[in-house]
Amino acid sequence: MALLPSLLVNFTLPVLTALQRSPLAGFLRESVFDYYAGYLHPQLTLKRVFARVLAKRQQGKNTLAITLAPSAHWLGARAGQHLPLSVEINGVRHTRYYSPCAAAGRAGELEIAVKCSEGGLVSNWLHDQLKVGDYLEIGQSAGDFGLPKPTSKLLLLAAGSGITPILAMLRSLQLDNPGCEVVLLYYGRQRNDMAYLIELKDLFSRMPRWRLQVGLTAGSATDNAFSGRFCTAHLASLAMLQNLRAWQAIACGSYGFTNTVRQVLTDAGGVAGLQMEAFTPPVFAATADQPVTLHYARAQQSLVGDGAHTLLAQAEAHGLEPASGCRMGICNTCTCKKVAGVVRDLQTGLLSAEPNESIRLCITAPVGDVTLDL
Amino acid sequence: MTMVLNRKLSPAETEAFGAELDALQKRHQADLGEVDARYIRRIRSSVRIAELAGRLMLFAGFFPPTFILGTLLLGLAKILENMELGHNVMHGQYDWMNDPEFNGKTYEWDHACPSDAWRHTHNFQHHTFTNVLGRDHDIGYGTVRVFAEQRWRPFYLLQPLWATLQAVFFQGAIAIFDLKIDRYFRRKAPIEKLLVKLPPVGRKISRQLLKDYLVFPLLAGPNFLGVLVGNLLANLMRNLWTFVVIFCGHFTEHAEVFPPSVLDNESRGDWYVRQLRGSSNLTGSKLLHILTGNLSHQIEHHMFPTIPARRYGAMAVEVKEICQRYGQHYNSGSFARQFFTVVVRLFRHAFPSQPQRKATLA
Ligand code: FES
Repeated sequence: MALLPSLLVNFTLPVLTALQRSPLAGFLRESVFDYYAGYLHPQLTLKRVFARVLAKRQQGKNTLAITLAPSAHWLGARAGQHLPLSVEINGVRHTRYYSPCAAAGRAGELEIAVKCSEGGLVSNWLHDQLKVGDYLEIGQSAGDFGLPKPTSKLLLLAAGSGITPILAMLRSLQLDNPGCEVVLLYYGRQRNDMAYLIELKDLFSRMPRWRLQVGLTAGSATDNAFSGRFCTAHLASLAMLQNLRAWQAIACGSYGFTNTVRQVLTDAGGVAGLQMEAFTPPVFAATADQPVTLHYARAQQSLVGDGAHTLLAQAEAHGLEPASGCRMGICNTCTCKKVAGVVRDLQTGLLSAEPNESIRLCITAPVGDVTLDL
Repeated sequence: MTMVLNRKLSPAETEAFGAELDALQKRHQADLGEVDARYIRRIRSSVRIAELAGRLMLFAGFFPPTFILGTLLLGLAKILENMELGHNVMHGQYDWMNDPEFNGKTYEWDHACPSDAWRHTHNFQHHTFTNVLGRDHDIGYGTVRVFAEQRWRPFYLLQPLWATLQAVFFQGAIAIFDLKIDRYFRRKAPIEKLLVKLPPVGRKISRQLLKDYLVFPLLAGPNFLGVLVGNLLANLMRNLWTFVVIFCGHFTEHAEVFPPSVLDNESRGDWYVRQLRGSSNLTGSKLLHILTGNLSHQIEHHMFPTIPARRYGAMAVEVKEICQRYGQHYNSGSFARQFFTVVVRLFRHAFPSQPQRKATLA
């Protein structure tokens, strides 16, 4: 498939990066270069990062772990960061964000966990269609979620696939700060649903000052597992956490989970610091005149809007000056990147929740909170 | 031109006409997918491979068979890139793919006109105000008079010559045309504005010139001249072809222009009617359609500029049927016939002429 050996490609990529800062860059069209270079090796690109799929393996009942080897364009990830991954399904590129299960250096291998849910377009595609040896496009990692520094007492709370950034943090701690005291509360429906349980047990068994506590939200609680969702009682029954105020806390899971965590910790008197990351499913507003929040990323403003008017009209009413022309969806002048949120195309009536897609502001209305690159 | 081409539509009929076309667009929009993505990638690959093969052959030396074939391939690559790939992608026809390579906002084409300038004059002004005098600057491209409604000036007497020159230098003409230099001479716009617009155009033109007439010829070493001439001919091919296709799109016999007053309270249906009356189609083989970037279906392109052009052929069948039902003339003819009527216009309106009928919208 590739005419060039990967090793050579990884030597070449930094040269290409340097080339783009030279005066020659004006003559180099990225798409043209990438097209011809793609015949030599799928990872030989000017900027875009492609990762080779090294392994696919089941983790728990519903989770797929994918090991990736990104090209030298990839700059690595700190524990807790996430990165975009794109796949093309029926001609349309879909992007989702995943947190690697371990920190990685530049071009280092990484593992992501994909939870397979019913109707999950990308996750199901990755489960069923992705093959070892394929190349996937990923992006640079981002996010401030990560280990506090310095830290000596750390309370980690994870629910479902929220475990992946937490696992990455644990692995970093084990290397850089093994003296730190750690309590991990990990919630899942049933034990066989929970990804990385074996890895976690193994890791915790080697760390005397670390304590792993599993919580099961469905089914009966057996051998020392907590039963039900995270609550004050769970917190109180952990003897190590007597002096809760001395602990720094990190939580990752669904929006409902992190909300509960914040509430319970506040009720218990607070912690030394709390960091949370929640995966928010797109929010659909029930009716067109229900208020929604419009985030303008460049302007760094969040203002109240509605689902009845076009995003162009609302942005203008909010004092922004987005480019526009025909105002009827034909000229492509107002096209803008929608970072997140659900929108409706007023001409076709079709809804779309895809992150980072191009939309024409003049014929699009928000259906729930929307973030725009304006 | 005394025969009545178009039945006058009542406001209700105009609305129904528009609604049927909207529904057609919606159907195609919802159906976009794999096939369209594969098509545009295939076009992209054809462009890249033809360009590489063409340039390599030109490098091979001034040996007539490779020289001719190389020039033809390079010209073909440029035509395909400008029309079926660049023009259509820049309309945002493939934005739904979310693929950065086919993003209408960031695509930069192999053409002297910077993409951003093109997006403004073409995508916005020309497509929104199609054939509206004073608003659509593509009417005659500022150098020729193709409609009696344009004011006559002695300058137009020599317009067959101007048109020929424009055809030969079409890409440069488009790039410069966008600057509307005459407006600064006539002091209609402050010169500072021109100074802002000039550098990107200058950069793009010089880069294009350097690439084709210096860098590639130099790379060929002893065959400098062969490559230079080949590139010149390939660019000429592209210029003539795009000129002819574009002039056939809006300046044929039955194409109409409109006074700016049509824009007042123009409904969606009215807008469709205007697009229909201002555009004209070319009939021909599949190859002709691809080489024109499917602008041979100019009517459909103007009605649905954001739908992938490969679908225009299929849409045309339905558009034609809708037009027939509403008694609207569907301006379509063979390439030779349509171009002939353009040439007739060029000669006729070089001399003073009076509009024969008022362009009215039903
Ligand atoms: S302003 Fe023309 S497409 Fe939105």
